[in-house]
Amino acid sequence: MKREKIHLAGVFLLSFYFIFFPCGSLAENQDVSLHLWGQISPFISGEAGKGAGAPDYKDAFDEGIGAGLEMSWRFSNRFSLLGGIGFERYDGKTYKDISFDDLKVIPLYLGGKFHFLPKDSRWTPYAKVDLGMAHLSCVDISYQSLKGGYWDSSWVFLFEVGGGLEYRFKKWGIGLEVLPRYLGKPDSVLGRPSDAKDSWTIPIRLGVSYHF
Amino acid sequence: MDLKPQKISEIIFRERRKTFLLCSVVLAFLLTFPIVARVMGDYRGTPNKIQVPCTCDWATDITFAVIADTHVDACTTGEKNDYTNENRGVVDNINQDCMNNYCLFVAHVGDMIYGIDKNDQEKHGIEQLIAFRQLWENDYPGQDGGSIGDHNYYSKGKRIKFPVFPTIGNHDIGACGDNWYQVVDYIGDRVTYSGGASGIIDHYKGDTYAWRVGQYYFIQLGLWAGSLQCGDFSATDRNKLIWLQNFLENHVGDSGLGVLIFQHFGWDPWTINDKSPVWWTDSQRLMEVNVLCRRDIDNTDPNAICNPYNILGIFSGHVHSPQDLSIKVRAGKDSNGNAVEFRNFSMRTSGDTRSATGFSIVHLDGQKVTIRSKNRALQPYDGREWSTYEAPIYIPPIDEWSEVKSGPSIGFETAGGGAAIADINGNGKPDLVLMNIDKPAGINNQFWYMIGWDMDHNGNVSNGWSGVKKGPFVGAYSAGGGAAIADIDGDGRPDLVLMAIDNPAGANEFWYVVGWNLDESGNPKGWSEVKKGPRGFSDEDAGGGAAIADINGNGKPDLLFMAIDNPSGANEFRYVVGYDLNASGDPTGWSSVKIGPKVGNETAGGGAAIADIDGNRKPDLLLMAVDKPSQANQFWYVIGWDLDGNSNVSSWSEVKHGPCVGWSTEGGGAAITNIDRGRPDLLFMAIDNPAGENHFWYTIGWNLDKDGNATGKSVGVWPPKSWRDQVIDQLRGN
Repeated sequence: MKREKIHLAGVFLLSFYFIFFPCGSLAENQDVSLHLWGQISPFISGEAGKGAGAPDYKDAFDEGIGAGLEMSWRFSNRFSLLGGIGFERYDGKTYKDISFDDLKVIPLYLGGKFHFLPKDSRWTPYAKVDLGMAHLSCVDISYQSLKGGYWDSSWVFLFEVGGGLEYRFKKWGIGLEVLPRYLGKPDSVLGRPSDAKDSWTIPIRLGVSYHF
Repeated sequence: MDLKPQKISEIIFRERRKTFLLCSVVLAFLLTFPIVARVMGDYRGTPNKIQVPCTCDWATDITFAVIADTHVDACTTGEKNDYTNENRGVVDNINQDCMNNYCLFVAHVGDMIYGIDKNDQEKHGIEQLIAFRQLWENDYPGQDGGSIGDHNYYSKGKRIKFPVFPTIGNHDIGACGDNWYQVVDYIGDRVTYSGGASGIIDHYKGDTYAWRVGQYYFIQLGLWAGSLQCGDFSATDRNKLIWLQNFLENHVGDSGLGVLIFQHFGWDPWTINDKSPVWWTDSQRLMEVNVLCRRDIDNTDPNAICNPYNILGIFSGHVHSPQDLSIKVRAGKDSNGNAVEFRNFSMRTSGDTRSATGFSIVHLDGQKVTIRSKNRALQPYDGREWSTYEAPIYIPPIDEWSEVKSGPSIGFETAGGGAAIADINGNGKPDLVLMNIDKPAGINNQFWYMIGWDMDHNGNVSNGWSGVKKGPFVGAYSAGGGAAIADIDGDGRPDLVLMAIDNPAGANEFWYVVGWNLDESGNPKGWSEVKKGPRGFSDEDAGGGAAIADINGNGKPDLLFMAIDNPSGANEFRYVVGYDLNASGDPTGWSSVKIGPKVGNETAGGGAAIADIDGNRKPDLLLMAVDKPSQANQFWYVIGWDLDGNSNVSSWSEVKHGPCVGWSTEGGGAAITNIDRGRPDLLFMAIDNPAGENHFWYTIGWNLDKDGNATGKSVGVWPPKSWRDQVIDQLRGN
């Protein structure tokens, strides 16, 4: 299973390359942009284990912060294709005397935007859908002097859908996005007690774009 | 006076006439009893046995209704406080709400009928019981509707559509044998007498009984866990408490399955504080709690350690109003010093119009109990009349199949395998024999086997594995094998049959050996020569199996061999039976080759087992194939139902699927036995054959149902450990 997911991640990177490889020739129209974003996820919800008194994600982790890079190609007046990669960290908390290590997430996604206004608008509101994979780091737990694994590292399915608004001034733009996101469940190390469910977050991204 | 001596024949004739007359009178009385009884007075009639709902044993989603204090009263019909009419309304509501919520049954917590005083009860008891039957017996009139000829006289078309599980309340209890006792007798006829209705697990006297639906046990207790069913309602029947104690211990044990209790008296303030009369005393309540806490019945310390069963709720009636779902029954402390409490749900009356009447619909989903209660006094019915209570519950998880267990390693190349279970070392615990046909390069193959000693209730070998034991050589071209154990020579010691399918160019042939009289270490006293069975059942095989059972029912063991025919395209089960093995292991004759179902295109081993799976006292034949596509292998099996004396089955099941088992199987086996003290369990074995050493792997399908599906067993612990304790246990390596 894990091998399959690594293959899928490889396929994803190749797709990313082939979509944006031809973009160089289009750069003169400022249809291609590079977007650097910073993110805060005010919460992460879902069950992070099973059993009486098992924690939710929000019991085990603080809100997350992260950053990433996204490349976008506006191939028509209303639509863009995009791909991106990021890095996020959710600080571990202590729940019922059990301390969780940080959870690190590397999202890797392809997606599309629908722009509500034409290309030459200064304000660019849009709707966005991303599909991809996310690598979840392994998470260890500790209790007094005892330490052990809780989740194994894993690749999980990623889906996010939402919208954003960009303000353009010449080749630069700044934007805000809100993207409710679904992530698949991590691999359990302890069996039932650490058998988590899928998680939901609502990342809020603030970013700077350069159009070339 | 001239007395003539009587002839013997005259005396006999005269006596015969007397006997004939007497018999005629008795017969006439019996035939006309219903009419006579109707003329002379009321009789309650005879209901059908109640139908216990049938669900999968692992089901957690269960809905039922609870009613209390219906006080069906034939005497108030048409009067201002018409209890019977109120019952009609409740019946109507329950039918509608239960249809919408998929209720399986209705539980009644006592006071089925009404009585004003003893004299009135005597006078009208049976009439009221018939009124109750007309309203609350879903299949009324059953065998006999009683002395009221009009079957809708009291119900007026409002009859419950779901089976009602009744028990008695203080209004239903009278002196033993008087008219009131008819209520207990009615429950007896409906539920408990003559061995009980099908699905009633156990009962005590007439009014106390238990049944199971899904992962929940339901227990009707009458007034309370130690009450009498007639006579003095304040007295204690210690034997009934012992019955409950034994029932819980034997049927629930440590399974953690949910227990729901129904009784008339509860822990509501009115019932426990009323002094005229005292309904039940503190010491009686403590006795009941002691049983639910696995304590000595006579324990007098209410704070003693309580090791509770998974009591999900105690439903009670008696108080009529208000309904109270928040009553806590303090039961002591658990081993960690935490307070243990049971929930007592005090129900409102379903018939007494002097109070707000109603009923409740209870839904269990394995994680919470939801009780929706209807207060019929809150009219119009616009939704306000419903209230909802919710509380978490815990039911341990169920696994249909065990994990795939790793057995010992054995050899490097395999040409087939087999599995059998028997108590070889005679200590009362099943031992697991796993066989492998070792296939070295260039020389004859050889039977190897190992024994896993003393399987525990989880299917784990608790006393280690034997070393590899080597049997006879068996040709160079094996293509599957099988193993079976039985006392063939009748000397009290188990004999081990090992089979290999010889697979040369051309027609294949069953070859087998018998290891006579296995000793307590699993070594035979000697081996038979290699015996040859039927030939020509196929040219290419991909696995086989062996089983021994008395198929033709003459008391002698019959030997069944199975081969999986492996042509290009779909594979197929085929089998033969050698009848009536003699003390040398030879049959008197072989059946023709029987053709079974097809079973995939690529197979890597098989197995056969015989047992009465559907419980109809006819042997059923289970055939297994390890399906081997390009990736994960999987156990597939079929069941041939009801083997007849000619070894034909009446029908075949569809192909069923067990767990997956690695990518590189080369041989398998199957056995059926009781491992966990429930219904028959199904063991499948596969020989994993990667590069390098081979390994035995096996898995167990728990508690086969009548369709041959594994229904699972509880794999959780009770009382449940918290998430925190489970995590810490694992960090500590427990």
